[in-house]
Amino acid sequence: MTTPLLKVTGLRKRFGGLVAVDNVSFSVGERAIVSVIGPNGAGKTTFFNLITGIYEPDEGEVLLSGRSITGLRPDQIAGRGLARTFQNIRLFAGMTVLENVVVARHARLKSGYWGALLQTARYHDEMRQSIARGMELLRFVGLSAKANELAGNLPYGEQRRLEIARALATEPVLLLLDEPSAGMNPQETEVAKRLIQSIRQDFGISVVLIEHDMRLVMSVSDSITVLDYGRKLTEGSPQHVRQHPDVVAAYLGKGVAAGTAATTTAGSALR
Amino acid sequence: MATAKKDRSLLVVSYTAIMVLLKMTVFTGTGLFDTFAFILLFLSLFFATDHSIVQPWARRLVVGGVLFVVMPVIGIGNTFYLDVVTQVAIYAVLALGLNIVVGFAGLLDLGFVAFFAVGAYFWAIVGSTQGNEIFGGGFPLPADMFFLATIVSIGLAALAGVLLGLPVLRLRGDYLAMVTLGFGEVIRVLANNLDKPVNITNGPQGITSIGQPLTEVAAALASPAVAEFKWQALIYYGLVLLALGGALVVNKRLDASKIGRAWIAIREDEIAAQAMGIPLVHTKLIAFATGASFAGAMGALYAAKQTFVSPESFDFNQSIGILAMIVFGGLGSIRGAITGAALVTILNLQVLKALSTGLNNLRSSGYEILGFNFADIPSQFEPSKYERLIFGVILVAMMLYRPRGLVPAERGTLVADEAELGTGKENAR
Amino acid sequence: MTYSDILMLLPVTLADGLVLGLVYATIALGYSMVYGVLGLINFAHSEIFMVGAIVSVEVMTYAFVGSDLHPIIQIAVAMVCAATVSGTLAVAAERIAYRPLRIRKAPFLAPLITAIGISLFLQDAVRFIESLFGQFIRPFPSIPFFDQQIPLTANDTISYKSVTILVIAGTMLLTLNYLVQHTKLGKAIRAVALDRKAASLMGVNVDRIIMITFLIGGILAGVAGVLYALQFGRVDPFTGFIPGLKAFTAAVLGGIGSIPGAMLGGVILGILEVLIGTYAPIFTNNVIGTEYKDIFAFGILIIILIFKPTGLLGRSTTEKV
Repeated sequence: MTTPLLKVTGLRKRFGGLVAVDNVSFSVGERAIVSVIGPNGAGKTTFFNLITGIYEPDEGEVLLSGRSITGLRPDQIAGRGLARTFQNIRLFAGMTVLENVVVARHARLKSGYWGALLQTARYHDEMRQSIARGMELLRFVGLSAKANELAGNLPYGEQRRLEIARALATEPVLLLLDEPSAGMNPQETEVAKRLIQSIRQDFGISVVLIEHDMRLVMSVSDSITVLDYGRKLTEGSPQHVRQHPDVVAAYLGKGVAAGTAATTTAGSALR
Repeated sequence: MATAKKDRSLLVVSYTAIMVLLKMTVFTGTGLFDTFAFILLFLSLFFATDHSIVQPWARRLVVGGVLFVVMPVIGIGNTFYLDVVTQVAIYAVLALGLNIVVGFAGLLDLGFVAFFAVGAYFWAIVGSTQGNEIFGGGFPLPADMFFLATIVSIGLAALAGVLLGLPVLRLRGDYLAMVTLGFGEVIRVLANNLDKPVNITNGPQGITSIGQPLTEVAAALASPAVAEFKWQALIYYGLVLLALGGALVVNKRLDASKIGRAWIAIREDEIAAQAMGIPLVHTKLIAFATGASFAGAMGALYAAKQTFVSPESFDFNQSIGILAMIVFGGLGSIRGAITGAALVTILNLQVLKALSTGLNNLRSSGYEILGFNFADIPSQFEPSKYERLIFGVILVAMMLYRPRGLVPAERGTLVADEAELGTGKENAR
Repeated sequence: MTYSDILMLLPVTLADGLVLGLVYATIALGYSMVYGVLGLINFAHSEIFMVGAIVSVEVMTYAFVGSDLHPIIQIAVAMVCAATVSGTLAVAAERIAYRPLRIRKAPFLAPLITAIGISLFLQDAVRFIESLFGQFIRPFPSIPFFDQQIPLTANDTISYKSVTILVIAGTMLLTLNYLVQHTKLGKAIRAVALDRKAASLMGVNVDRIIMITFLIGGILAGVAGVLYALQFGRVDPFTGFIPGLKAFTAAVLGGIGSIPGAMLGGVILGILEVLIGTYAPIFTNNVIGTEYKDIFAFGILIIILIFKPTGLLGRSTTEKV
């Protein structure tokens, strides 16, 4: 058996009296697309924050490619190849679109302070490469024409795509997307879906997404993990999750029959 | 577009030429109109450095001509103007240093002058007999050691920045503001009291007879036409321009590099910056130390130029004044920092002083109006004593009504290949 | 100097420290409460305190010199005046420096800079006004009543002045604690401090609560100004800076945002400062003079920030992401 790309064991986080994430184990294989779903307040975003080092877990361990990243700082974790986007977009609004992407290459550039001051050849090479790479990524998400605009001036859907390009610029092995389709109309969601699929195809990396849109989740995921009240309710293939009675109950409350139709509307009901 | 820019370039060049002529022929003195003419002449530098209106050839011509030809000529005629410009340039370098800390990295440093004091006291101690009080003998160091000492001052100030920043930079930004505020005060108390047990700073009396660099050059150049002190003033002018040039290069290069982008990213959103692989404390420390090092270098130069330092030169007003400069000019804006430094310095040095002198003249005149004798105006009312009020108004008014300053910072140091954008050349700026 | 001499100084030192500490605590509460609701340090707070001190000196000088009114009533009137002016000023500072920027969602540097601007403006504005009437360094009129002594131990006494300060500051602190812990207003303040958005959804008028918090902080600063002027006998437009910095240190020491913390921090800092001020020169033969007590307070600030940034009673908070 090969080591999974990401392996989380017994993760737990408590805020005061509330256990936000309770003994969650989770793993992601190579070139996989995994979704984490659950009702609002189920601890999904906290789970991401624990993995990416924004919060320090009270218990549990996170391994990336077999090496522990528990307790590392977010920037160190990003350096190890774990990138993310944020639920409520956190772009650098005052920087241009291109700069947003290039800044994320920070950890990948060897030439730093003195390189810049002395304008070494390596510094210039890296700059050129960074800009070229940044433009490639912008083309990938369809924003290359807006490279010199301020990120804060982009419309909402484009900001979400820029966040993805920025995360990809860190050269991750695993990308965590926190509600990539939130606030999008069906057409935009369709674009987001194709984007997620091509991330796996073109970059050969794995994607974990938190998502409320069930249509999207069901169509892109290899596997789905369901969180409720900080605990893992179940995990498995879309087929398995769709039919799991606890999942339907968690989403729609008691008294709703399990069924394909019901679960696919669950997402829109939540939003 | 191109022709309009060419026209405007010509316009700026002609404006400069007219001002130079006026200043050199009609308004040669130091009276009110002369000063005004001088300020108008100086304004040509502001126009010429606006990339959006002036072509590079005009910029080089105006900046080079005014700074390297016109200024020295005016200065030799009248060192007063040279002193003003030297003063402006010193503050411009300080403002560029603080701009890295506050403008780029978004770290509010209210005790910036402390690092200036570190540099100033270092050269003051080793460049005068004060060093003997600490080390027993061998001081003052030869004045030519000044340049080496400046490098050490840069290092010391950067070190002080790191030591102060290390405990605080991992905390929220307003703690940093409060701690730097306190640190400025600590440095002042230390400067005042470190005359015992070992006399390091000579206490409130300060340190006098500090060595000046390149005096032998000034002496050798002295002639009946141009006295030694004028050459010395020119030498300082040259040194300060050199420092300003260095500061500009460092600012621009860092701004365009990954460090500069990381600073902006941290300023905009710390959490996102960190999640994108930017180490917060490390990157902030670099900003803090770089800003401090600018102040350290200028401190050494200031000590040499004044040949005297005392704790009074490093009070809170100075720190706030430099902050007001960059807020005035535009946080994060390199051209803004220099503009702000020039405006605030000229305001302090010339406008307020002129008003104070006017008030004093009025007072000594002893005129009476409606039974009020002007001689009774308390000296407390001299406008030059109300720096804080002016700085306060600048800070509040700018933040409320023009938060990006007079010369807002422009992003776009990174420019994508034009072909890829499918847009014209003017897109670059 | 023998050990018994050193011990002899102790009761008086501790009493002085407590008095100073309660003054710090009263100022510190303003920092702490505003920080609690806004998450920002109010840099103008030290000048609001200074204005209170100046107002009290002016009231005592112009209204009461030669008056037969009981000195306690005189002080009470001065307190009401100082609290009114300082409270109004604090609300004005909030309106000018904080609210417009909060509404505009300006970057977090902006309100700090405006608050510093207001603080500088106040220093020079007060200096200007004071200069109109002569000297801007203002002595607190001497009132013999407050110099009377009550026996403290066999050898030591404590002045009426100190007792007055202890009683007034103590009452203010207890009242505030009651207000915040046991009234509806207090509950609203705590709700805003905990989660501004949620509080607003629950029907709390957040802007009003923020304004009231500034008002309370300003009133406390005004009262602290009176006490400070009474204790130290003279004030000037730059009086606010050092006590402000120390009160901030006290707030951080106790745990910023925590009301009991601000009180505890103030008392600890006050006592430590007086102890150092008294004993450091004795033990070091004046090498470390009294001037160093300011540096010492700053040292404490740095040490807390390194080792326990949440302070003694503060709770760590996690930023929402």
